[in-house]
Amino acid sequence: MKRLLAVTLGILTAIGGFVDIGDLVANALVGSRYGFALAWVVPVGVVGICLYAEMCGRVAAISGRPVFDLIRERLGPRLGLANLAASFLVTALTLTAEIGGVALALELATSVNFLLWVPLVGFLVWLVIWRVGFARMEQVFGLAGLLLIVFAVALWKLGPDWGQVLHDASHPALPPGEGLPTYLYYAIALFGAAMTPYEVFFFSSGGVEEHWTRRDVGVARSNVFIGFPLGGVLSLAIMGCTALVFFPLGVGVDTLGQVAMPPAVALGKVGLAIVLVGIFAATFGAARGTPWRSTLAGSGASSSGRCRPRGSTASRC
Amino acid sequence: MGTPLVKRLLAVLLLLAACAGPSFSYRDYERKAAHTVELANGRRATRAYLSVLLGEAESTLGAIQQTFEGVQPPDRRADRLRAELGEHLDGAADVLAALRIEVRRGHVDALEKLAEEHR
Repeated sequence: MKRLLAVTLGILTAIGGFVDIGDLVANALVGSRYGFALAWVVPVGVVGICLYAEMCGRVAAISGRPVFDLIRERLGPRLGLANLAASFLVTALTLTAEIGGVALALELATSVNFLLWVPLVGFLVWLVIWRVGFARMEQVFGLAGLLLIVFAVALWKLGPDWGQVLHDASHPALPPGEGLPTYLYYAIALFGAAMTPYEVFFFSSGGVEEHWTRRDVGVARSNVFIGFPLGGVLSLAIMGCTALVFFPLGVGVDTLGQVAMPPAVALGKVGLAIVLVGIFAATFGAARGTPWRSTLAGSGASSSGRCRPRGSTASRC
Repeated sequence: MGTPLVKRLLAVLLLLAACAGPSFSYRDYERKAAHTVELANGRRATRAYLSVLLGEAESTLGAIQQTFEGVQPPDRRADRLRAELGEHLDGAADVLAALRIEVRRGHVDALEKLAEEHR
């Protein structure tokens, strides 16, 4: 029973934790500009992240070594360092965007300019990483991120012609005035939003820190193979909402405020409140998760001592 | 904040967002307006949210105005087009500013009237 609870919680956390600022913006923008013509990219991205995360978790659990350590061993220190540096660069950009996302969510809720929120958000992220137990926070923000299911409810309430939606998604066609290079550019952006490096750091190095064994592979697999695809469904719901509200008007989504508009249109104030809390939870959870997971990756790559935040079960560095 | 007011504001915001999208004819604009009002029918949003969206729309429109005004008109015919479009953009900016001010003051009746005038 305890194991089943852990699996369920892990899956729910994976769903809520899958969507971050990159997914929110990329899916909303693509939906508003291309309708459902780029929907096929999301499953491709989900398959990619599932395969990579599962492999990382398996390697960590069976060999007891982080993936970055193996990359360095097999490909040499230079390529290993280049790989780590590229991952860190992307993660630094992601962290900046996540903090911006939290600040923007607060601005939409309070109308106080987001730049005033940024220092406070940065401080809160640091405080949470430093003082609050990791496991609890991971679950709290992952579960709160599930509030973004409001996009799926909004999509249903907007009442699309599901047959047409399926047809558009399965027969992708360029909208009038759009060129193939731009289409492919957004396809890559969408794929990149699904394949965020920090999301696999946990599996590539966290498994070692958590002392995973063969017994943990099943739980990790269920999190990956059930949680991530359901997170992908959430991404498709975001895309679907903006495809229904903005695409017919020829309006491109370019602010987070516009991303939150479809739930407001479909569900009113309640929908708006839920989506804002969901965006806050998803972006804050990711802002908190990126530095921590990067630390795991860094410590894994250096194969030095364990470095864990307060609240974890093992020793701290 | 009443439902009709907010539905009109959401409609106006969607229309203003359309300003930044691909170019379209007046007929397209009119059709989109009707569709938007239909989409926004009977929905609600908070004052803070609307205030932020109106502010963003104002910034977007300001950038469009600036870009357009920076383009050198090649001949007299283009001068007339420039003057005409400039007038429309100024009008849209005035409406946006008025909406934003009323939203931040919480003047519901004035907002409803403004939205009605510019539908």
